[in-house]
Amino acid sequence: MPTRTPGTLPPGAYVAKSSLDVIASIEELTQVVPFATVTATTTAAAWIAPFPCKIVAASLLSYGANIPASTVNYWSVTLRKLVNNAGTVTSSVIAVKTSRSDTGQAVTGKADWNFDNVPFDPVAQNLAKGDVLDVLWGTVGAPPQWTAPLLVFRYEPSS
Amino acid sequence: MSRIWPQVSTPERTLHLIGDNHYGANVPTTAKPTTRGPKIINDLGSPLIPDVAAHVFLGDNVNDGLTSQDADFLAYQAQFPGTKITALGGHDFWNGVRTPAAAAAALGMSGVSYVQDLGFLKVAVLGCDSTDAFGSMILNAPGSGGQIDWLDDTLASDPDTPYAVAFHQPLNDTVGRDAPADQFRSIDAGFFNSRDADLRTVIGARSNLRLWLSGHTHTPTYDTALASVETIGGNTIGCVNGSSPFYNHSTGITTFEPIRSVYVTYLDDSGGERIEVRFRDHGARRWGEGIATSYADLSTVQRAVTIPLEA
Repeated sequence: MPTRTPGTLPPGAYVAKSSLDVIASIEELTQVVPFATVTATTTAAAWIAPFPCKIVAASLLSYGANIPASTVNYWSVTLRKLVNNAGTVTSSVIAVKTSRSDTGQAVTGKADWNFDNVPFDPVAQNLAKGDVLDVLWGTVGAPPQWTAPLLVFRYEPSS
Repeated sequence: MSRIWPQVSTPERTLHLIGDNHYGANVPTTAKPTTRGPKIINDLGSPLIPDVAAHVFLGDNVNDGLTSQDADFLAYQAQFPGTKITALGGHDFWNGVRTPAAAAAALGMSGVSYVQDLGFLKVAVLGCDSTDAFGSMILNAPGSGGQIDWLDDTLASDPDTPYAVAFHQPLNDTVGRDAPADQFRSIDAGFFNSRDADLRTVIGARSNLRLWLSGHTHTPTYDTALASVETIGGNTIGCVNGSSPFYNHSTGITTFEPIRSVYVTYLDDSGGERIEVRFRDHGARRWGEGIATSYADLSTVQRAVTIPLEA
């Protein structure tokens, strides 16, 4: 890990802050991607990397009813990197989250369903210019639909 | 797109506190230390997270005191950049599977208690004298040549140097003192140290002891007393708990609990002697929720607090 020289503020510049006067901690770039309603196993392209970058966080939202957690009827949502090498497309998994009741999380309608606690593959999360980010919604059983899902992800430019 | 400067104002005087990791705990995947630990490492790679003076691991590094768990923890710890400081917790010799000294050796510590000199501050890592069948951290009485005597002698021999103590267990009635019962609180039996009065006697007599850093309670960072100033005898010190990246409530392991740690900056300049405390959610990769001013209204969290170390 490289040594960094942060932009330090003078000692004493910080005083107790309330939530009202704290500015947002915006540390990465953000992209928002709307999708059509998903009712069955589906893949959809989300983005093309405009420059080398690292996908560092993601959230999904279903703009509809709740999707209850279940070990029988659940979704497995996978963020993937697609690389097209002279017509041969390879995919690699960046992160997976499910709505299983034992290892995943129910989807609350119109609320954040994020990948904050899900491991990101340290290799796959790095995209070269032109690599594609896509989303695979996979079903087990017959879970309720994702209604007009919205993906918000964050990324860091890299060299 | 605008970006802010990193919120840690003086990283070279900052300690990154990482509470109970519990490597080896057999829990659902997204709650596993082996899942959550890499999220911390990944987050520390962010260009806007500064390198700090030291990463302080505040005990319960592993869950059951097992060699296999040591290996996983040490591989994780090795990925933190720069200086690492390790303290013992009861789970490091859980159920008496090994002695505290054996646990310290296995975790790469130079002893159950030792001093790490950071230049601006020395950290006295305090261990315990023995354990029992339950893995308790037992401190011998003062005058018996145990760890409390070691701490007192260490502080007495270096009176002009500011010290922080890193000990797994908090002082009684500090962190979590007003917390609801769904948290582990320092006021509850088993969650403060076993010789609080004796330790307070040492603290009161040694004015170079400036900070008490603890783990053990897994306290969420919005706790109203996660960081506090305490006057003990004639000495006023800061008490800061490192929370835990594992889980934060006594009601059980919550699969999607934030992955929390605490940054504490020790300053002593024209602005006075003080600490700044900040809170990181490594999963969300943001400077996260901090100390609340009231349990009745948790929207009052402060994401950075400055605490003067004055009576």
